[in-house]
Amino acid sequence: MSSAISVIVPPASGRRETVAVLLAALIVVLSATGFIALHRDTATATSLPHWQVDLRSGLNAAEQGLTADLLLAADEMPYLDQVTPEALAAEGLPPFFADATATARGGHHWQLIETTDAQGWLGQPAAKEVAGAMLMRIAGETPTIWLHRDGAASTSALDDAALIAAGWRQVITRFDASVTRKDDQH
Amino acid sequence: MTARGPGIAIQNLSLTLGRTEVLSGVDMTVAPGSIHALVGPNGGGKSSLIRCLLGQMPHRGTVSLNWPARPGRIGYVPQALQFDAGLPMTVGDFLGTLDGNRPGFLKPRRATRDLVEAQLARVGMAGKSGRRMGALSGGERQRVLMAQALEPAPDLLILDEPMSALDESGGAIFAEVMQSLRRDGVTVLWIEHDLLAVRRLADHVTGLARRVIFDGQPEAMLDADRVLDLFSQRSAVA
Repeated sequence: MSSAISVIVPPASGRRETVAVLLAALIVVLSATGFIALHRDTATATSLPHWQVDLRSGLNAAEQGLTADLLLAADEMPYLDQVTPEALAAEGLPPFFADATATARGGHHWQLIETTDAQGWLGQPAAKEVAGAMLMRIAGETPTIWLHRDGAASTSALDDAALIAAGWRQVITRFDASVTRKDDQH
Repeated sequence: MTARGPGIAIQNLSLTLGRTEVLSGVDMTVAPGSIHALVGPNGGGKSSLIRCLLGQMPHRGTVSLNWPARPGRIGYVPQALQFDAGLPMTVGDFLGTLDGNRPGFLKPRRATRDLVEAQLARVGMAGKSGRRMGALSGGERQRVLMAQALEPAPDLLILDEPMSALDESGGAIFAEVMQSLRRDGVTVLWIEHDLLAVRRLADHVTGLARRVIFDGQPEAMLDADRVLDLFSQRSAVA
């Protein structure tokens, strides 16, 4: 018959399935590679100006702890009648309250500095090798933390220019450098 | 009547499973539209040959189906159907699932039910569609398997010992079905132990014991010497 058709029965084998699985795996790997190649993003770590210091990499543990406590204390202050260091210590608020932790963090002595448009809480350490001098400035509603590694530092002006000129560095938090990456800015 | 079934050409077919050589160098031809019987001892490779034909074995050699036009439908009646006897599946469920597109747990369409009844009537089991599959006797189960292979109408029908559990009336029905398949020009490859039935119904017979022992017309081939040769140890180890 002219239209006859002959079909060879193939032996049973997993060859086709093997090829299909390998092909599928290859497609997955290639598309993943392609995706990564197309979405490559180089993390640019912004370098800090000389008058700023990174909280994570620039401060030691005692200074980091003090910074955190100061910022928490700033949240409490609007609800208090008095915000002198003595009053804050009487409330039991760290880091103003002199306890074992405060001693371990350098035993800072706190004083309140007031100017026309800002308030500052200056802490000078008893043990300079443990932590530097810390300053929390509240201008308006935003607290900023400043650090001076020379423990004897003191200031009467609280504006940026004066603080920078006196060698204070602002503690800032950066979100662009991940904790898994080495930050060699400092 | 022109044959609508395919011719089958098997050339140098060998099959080794593990270290057992099941078939070696089998050459065999099945004419289109003929009833071709395969006889041989147990373990002679008859069922394996059929599974090679169905593409289920890692065989060597060539198996080709030569269809008269485009590839048609292959019907297969296995030697036995393995399922749990407690399975709550009726004969109607079984055939209806194979016939229709509807899932078995839904009530089948009227047309499907009618078709199932017609199928059962063809194998002498009319009115038994409500019987549970597990409750069927061996012969009845074989008839059901036969019924499923006949609908939709196959062009090539492969039977693996369809009569092994059939009673006398079942045998008669089977003979009738075979005659009608022959009239329709369907190619039938048929494994059988009942040599008398083979002589009565088959057009061609091949004796298989790992290799082809004999091949020819049943009347000429099925004589005492050849059959003794086929079923004796000698042929199996030769």
